[in-house]
Amino acid sequence: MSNPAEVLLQVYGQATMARIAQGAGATGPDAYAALTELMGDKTRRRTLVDAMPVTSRELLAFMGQFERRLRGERLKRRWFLHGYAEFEQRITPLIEAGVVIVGNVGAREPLSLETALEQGLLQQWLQVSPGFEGLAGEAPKAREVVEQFEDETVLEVTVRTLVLEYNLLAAARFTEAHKIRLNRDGSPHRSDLKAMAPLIIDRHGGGSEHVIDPNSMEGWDLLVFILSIGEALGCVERRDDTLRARNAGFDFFRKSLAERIPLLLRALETQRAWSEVHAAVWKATGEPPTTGQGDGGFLVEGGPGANLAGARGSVLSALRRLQPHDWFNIVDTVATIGSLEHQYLATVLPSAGDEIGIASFVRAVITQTLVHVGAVDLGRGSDGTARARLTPVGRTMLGVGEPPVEPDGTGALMVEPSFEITCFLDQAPLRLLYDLSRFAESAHTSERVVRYRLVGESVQWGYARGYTADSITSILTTSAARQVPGPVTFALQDWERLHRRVTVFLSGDIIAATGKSDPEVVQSGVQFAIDRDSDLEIIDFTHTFVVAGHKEPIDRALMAHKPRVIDYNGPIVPSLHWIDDKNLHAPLGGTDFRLLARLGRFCEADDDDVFRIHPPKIKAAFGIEAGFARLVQLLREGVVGGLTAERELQLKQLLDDPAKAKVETMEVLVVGSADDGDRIARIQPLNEFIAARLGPRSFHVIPGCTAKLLARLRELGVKVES
Amino acid sequence: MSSSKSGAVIHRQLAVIACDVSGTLKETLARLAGLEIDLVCVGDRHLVLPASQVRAVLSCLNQHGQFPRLVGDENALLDTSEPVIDEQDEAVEDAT
Repeated sequence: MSNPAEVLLQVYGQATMARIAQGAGATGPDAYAALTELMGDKTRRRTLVDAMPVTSRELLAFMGQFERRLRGERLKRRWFLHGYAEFEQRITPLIEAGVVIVGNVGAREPLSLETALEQGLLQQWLQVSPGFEGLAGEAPKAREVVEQFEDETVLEVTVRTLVLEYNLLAAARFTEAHKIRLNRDGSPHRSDLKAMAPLIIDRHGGGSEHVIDPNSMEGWDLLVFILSIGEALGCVERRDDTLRARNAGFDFFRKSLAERIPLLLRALETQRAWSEVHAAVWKATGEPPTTGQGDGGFLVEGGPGANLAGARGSVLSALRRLQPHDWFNIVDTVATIGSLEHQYLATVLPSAGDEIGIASFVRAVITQTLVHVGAVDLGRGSDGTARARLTPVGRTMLGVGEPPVEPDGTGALMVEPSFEITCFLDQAPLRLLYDLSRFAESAHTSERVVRYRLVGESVQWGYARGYTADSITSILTTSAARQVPGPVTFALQDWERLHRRVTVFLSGDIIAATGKSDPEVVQSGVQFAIDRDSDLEIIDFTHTFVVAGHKEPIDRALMAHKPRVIDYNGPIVPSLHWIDDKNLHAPLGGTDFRLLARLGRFCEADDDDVFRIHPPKIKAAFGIEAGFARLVQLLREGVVGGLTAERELQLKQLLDDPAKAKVETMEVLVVGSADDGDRIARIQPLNEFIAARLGPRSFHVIPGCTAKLLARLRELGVKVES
Repeated sequence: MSSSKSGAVIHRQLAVIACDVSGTLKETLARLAGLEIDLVCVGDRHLVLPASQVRAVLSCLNQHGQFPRLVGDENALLDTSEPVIDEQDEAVEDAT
């Protein structure tokens, strides 16, 4: 074996030899020669090791176990996980004495120790110098990294995961019916959070006695956390400038606890609106943030917590490696994790990646994030120190425990004849709470009991979402401690009967056969094109309704019929034709339904497609003047080719309010109103009798044409005074 | 728009209210009588209206204690047309 000094010279170069010789206590005019002499003798090498501090010898013995080089960062982490700290203090004497080499033994060019340390000890390869292996004896015994306590710890804060999940459910249910508006910085409106707050259980209990306040630090923190996790789970989403429920994400509530825990962990890591960096500040100041600073922001992209997924994962990973079995000291554990993950956290934490920022973040993950999801309990030791422990759910999240058994719901409910349902949370699985939220309204919440009420509105709302009287009765019966009262089951059946009477298809297309097409051919073509019967509603022989989302199959099926399209988000499509002065033809299937709806206010239907203008109806509904104005407006929009002035004058006569005109001299025609003046001016054939329009109501009649003009006006229904 | 050559018309963006019997349709019509909407009876059991107006219909039926079976995307019912005011601006508006 070569002399260790040769290896040191090869790694560091000549310039470092003096420093190493001094550290090793080798004296002489030639540092390298002195070092060679010292290190060439095994006894002197042993003496050198024995002269090292005990703490350094322990580390040297620990390093000897690996028999290979390790990166400084990795060695430090292993040392921590072995149960020891003060890595830098322990290794420095070993390096200075040349017992441990910093750098790559196989490097072609030497790198001085000074340069290597400047580049960062933890970034360098570290290994025991050849010849010093085994000189430090046995490695110290592994210690528990997290100190366990024998004294009693008083539990101060515990949140059950089911309570968080109930809150997620309540928030999702709230956003189904109401929107939560977002400020410009993406933070939710506090007034909307206040409206949601009575549905939320916090660790002090919910309901009327204690409603959390979004204007308090605790209330803001909890409500934003719930919405943030809800968004990460896909139960809530940003839509325009509001937060709304996302029903596709409700599947979470129907899963077993074992399936939910990994989803919760992932949501906890990837959530973007709630941030430990912000939450730590709120907690430190005891105040909720000022709106406009971006705290709790549900932005279109990114968010205050969006870039923290890696940092959260890093803390959780460190906690997993520490494997605390019971209560652990929070301050010590934060320091340990901070040391273990310093390298990574310093690069990923925004702006606050210094020691204080890292400690604050790690502490927030343990005492806020994990507490919110029920993964950690908080307590206090007899010596006053703050402590924490993993809950069974927390152990499962970290992969060091089995998921707790979820109750099956037996005996979780009491159904009263008064239609009130008492649900005992300790016995209720989340699936039961989800079902109840679908057909019963929440009346009162506390930490262990939620009271619901069955009312016609809530039950029919549930029916609209797929529940039936039988399925609700079955759910209640399965979980009820006593038999479900008869009046309740009877009411469920009765409400279902009422509910089934009307079905509303919210959006879709009506396909109507028109012209010479065989309605049966059109209808059967559409039926063939739509593969789900539930998406079709046959209205009659001519009309078929198809639920939205089948545009392409419909277009294909109707290609041969060259279909017209009327889009009801656009303007009214003219589709009416005059049959005579009083009757309009509205082609069956081809008329804009908005026209048909409005025609009904002015006309009587003489047939499926013929509408007769009905003056008494118009007068009764609107009065003559307003009725005429509305009718003209409708027909201008709805008649193919628009409404001519002649028709308008005739309509006036039909409504028993004919346009009036009189001849004041032999040459001037004066009409009753400026509007009628406009109408006469628009009638082209009258121009041959009129020399000029003198004003809004008056016309100069060509000499000799007065009689002809008056006769023509009379034909148009104008009442002419002589 | 020429309709003479078309053998079919596609009416897009409509909602349909389907009743079990004609009596229910009459009852429903009576409940909706006060609404300013374009509602048409088609056949004995169906009412047709623009989809954009269906929220008003449901709201009216709900007020009468009727919660009909819904088919389709309920998200389309959500009203996002109202402009959102920043709560700071709202506070200023309230104060003034």
